[in-house]
Amino acid sequence: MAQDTKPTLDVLRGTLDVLVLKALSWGPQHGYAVTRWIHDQTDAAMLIEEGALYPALYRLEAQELIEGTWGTSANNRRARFYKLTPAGRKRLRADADTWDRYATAVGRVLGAASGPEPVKR
Amino acid sequence: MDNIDDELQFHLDEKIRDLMSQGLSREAATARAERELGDRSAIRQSVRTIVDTSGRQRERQRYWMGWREDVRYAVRGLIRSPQFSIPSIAIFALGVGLATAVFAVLHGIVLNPLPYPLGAELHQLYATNLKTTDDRSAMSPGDFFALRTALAGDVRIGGYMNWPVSLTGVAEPERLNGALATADLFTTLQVEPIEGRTFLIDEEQLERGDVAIISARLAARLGLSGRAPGSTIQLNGRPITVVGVMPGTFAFPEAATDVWIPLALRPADRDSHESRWLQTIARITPREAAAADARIQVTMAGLAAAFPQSNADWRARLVPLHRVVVAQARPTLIVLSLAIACVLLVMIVNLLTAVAARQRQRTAELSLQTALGAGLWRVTRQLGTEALMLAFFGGGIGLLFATGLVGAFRRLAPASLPRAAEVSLSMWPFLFAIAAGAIVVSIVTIIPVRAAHRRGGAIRLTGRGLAVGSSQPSRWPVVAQAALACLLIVSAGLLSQAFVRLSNIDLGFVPGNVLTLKISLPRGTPSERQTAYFSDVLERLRSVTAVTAVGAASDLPLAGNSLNVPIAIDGVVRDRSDPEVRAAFRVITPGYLEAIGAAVRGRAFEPPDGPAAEPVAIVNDALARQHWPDVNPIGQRLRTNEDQQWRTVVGVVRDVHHGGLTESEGPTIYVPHAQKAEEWMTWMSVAVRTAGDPLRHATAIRAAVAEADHNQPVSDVMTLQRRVDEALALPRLAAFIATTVAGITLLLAAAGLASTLSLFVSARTPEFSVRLALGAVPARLAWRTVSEAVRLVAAGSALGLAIAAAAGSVIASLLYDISAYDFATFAGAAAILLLTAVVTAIAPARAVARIDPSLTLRS
Repeated sequence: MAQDTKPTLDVLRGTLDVLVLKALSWGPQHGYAVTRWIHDQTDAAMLIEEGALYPALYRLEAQELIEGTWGTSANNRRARFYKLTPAGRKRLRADADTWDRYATAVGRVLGAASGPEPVKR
Repeated sequence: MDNIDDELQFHLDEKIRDLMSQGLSREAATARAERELGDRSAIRQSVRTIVDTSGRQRERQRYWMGWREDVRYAVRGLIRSPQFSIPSIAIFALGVGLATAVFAVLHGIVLNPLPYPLGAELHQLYATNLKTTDDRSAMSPGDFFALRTALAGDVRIGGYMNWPVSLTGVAEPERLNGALATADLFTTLQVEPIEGRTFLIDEEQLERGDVAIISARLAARLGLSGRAPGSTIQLNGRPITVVGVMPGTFAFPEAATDVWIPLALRPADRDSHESRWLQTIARITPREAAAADARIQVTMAGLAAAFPQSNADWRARLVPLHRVVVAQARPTLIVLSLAIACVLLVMIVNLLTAVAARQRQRTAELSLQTALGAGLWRVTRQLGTEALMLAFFGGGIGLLFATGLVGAFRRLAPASLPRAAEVSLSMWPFLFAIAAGAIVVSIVTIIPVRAAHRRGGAIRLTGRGLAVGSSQPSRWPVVAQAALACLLIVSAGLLSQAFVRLSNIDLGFVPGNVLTLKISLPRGTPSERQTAYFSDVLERLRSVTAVTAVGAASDLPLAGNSLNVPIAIDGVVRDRSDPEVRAAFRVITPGYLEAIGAAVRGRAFEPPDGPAAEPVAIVNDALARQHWPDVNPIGQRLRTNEDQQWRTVVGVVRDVHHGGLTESEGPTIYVPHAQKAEEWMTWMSVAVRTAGDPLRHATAIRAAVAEADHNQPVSDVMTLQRRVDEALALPRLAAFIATTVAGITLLLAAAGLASTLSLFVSARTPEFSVRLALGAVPARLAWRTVSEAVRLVAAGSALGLAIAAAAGSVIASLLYDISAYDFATFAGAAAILLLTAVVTAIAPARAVARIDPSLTLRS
């Protein structure tokens, strides 16, 4: 992916799960659509490698957060569609909340106007 | 998962399509997509790992979920039908609790190994007399040392004797439980001291014998812990060097032994074969047992030849120490283990009845499950879970119950019952409870399931859906329970009556209102000093308020005999080949026989019977009967081999029980304290008869004794009645346990009968309704229910009585003055059961009488 025209961000460990859950929150999707969606949403800043995506999907399925079923794609091919389970929806809410707070906190620190108080000797 | 390949291929194709739509050529798009996808097999591998592990986890989860569901289902089922679950849990609790408590007693006393290394190798070595029944005598020192020499190298033997001593040189002198021990006693028992050392062989010599080993308990009390070896204490007024400390767990010969002194004898005593007082213990491995026994017999035969006077009829035998320790309690314990078996059987039969009743109501449900494809295993698992839940709750309550019972046992157990203090709900009784519970659970699961399986075809479709064939409830559980209850009631009846008769035995003395205490003067106190001291003490006691009679004796009633001596009767010439004539030997003071309430013909000893007066003796009835059956014993003469002095018999006293409640008293000779030749016999037990409760005067009595000599400790202060109670404790305990077990069993049997009868009634309600509709008299049908109950219980009782008769010899050894086949007891047990049957049948019979045929027939 380094060959892409824009520099891409590496996906932080543990972040992928919440991104996948979010991608599925609008309805069942197959794996490629999930990558596409994330790619588009981040203006191509994030590219999900297949080697990371599929283990993540199967792991989430084992945890019963998503459920995979075989169906037919738009261009009439057999594809595996993943659907958010109620547990998955609950997890998404919790994780998104955590991420929000984390991101806000990091943003505040990085946008700070003044440094730490000098330590008195 | 093979699908992952399809999934990846789909992914790749989509991507290529996308890239091509962005303007790339097919080749370029494919190359780029393939490159970005990377190693396909790596993805496949990691996905597979995830799928595999999660699959196993899920499977395991589903399995446990199944159990959890079963448990939840079972608990809900039990809560929904309290008329089944409460009695069943109660039965389980009673049965397991009772059986576990009795097992704890068995385990603590019989099965628990001795607290010595390789305890099974330890044997008691007894001298046995070939001509009398005396087969458990102590050894004479001469025999002991001869045997020790003969066995040296292969077998270790140790000698010991209880020897109370006074701890003096401290603020409050006290009596210690002491023991004389030969040097190798400790190595024989293989117990190491925690400090210092045990005795050396040359400490068996008088001039080296001023050493002692003390218990950790005593060391702590004297503040010597950690620095005891080398310190000096005063025993009987003599300075003694402590050489070692034994661990607190070492309880030999008695649990309370606090000090061990080397057995140091004068050469003449050491070689004496005359008096047998040295207890002997031997360690013999099974391999050398035969050889050792042979060597012992040869040695004893050699001694018999060398010392015909003392040893002619004496041999020796080895008895495993374990057997010695439990011999006394063995018959009780056999009966108790039979009681455990009965309790468990009754419990199983009872639970089976209850489960069968419940099954009957649920046959439709279970059969439907089977019909819908639930396997036998599935149904078994469900029923098993239910039984397990019963066991869980019942067993829990049962263990609490057992804890209470074990506590009660320890309170009721006589002090004389060996190792009663070791009885507790330790690991083994706990495991026993679990094993017993598991066996009961499997039986009450498997039998009903098999029955249900066999009935599998009996489901019938009727107009109302599934119904069960209205087969009659099984009768055998009622018969079996009645039989067991009858057996236990007979046993309890016999044991209780034996106990009552034992408590009414004429012991030859009147135990009420007598306080006793023991005084041991230091070893080596001269005879005159002993006489002076005891007459002083008795004189002071006589002036205490409420004291009506005072005396002292070398041995108190029911306290055994210290001495058994050869005697000669004036005018009777004894052949060498005749058995030795022996009698128990007791030294008493004037007033003693009056104090214990033993009636005398002729006269009792009086103060003038002193050292200078004519030597006199009193004999008991047994001796008089044996030696002077036809003449008046008073005025006859006899002597002991020990003092070689002819004594004139001045009185005949009743046979005062010394050996035990039931042991008939052997010939006994009483000698006045002031005339005794045995200077070494420095102890006496004082008996004080008071008007009213003697314990109320105990303080005044002790004060009077202390006035005579403040340095002289007293011990064993207790009422004479308590000695009798102690002797009665074991039979009382047996009667108590048997009655408890029998009562609970009768209750269980009645419950079982009640549930069977109500099943019987409900199963036959349609039939009865038809009969009633056809004009049958309700009272007659009700009567049939009662007679059915009586018939079943009568059959069971007959079976129980037959078993009781067959097992008579087992219980006979526990009985006193009542036959194991006592007719009244047998008849009484049967009567109790039949009465129970009638009472139990009343409610079901009334239910029959109240049947409304119109209601039943319409439904």
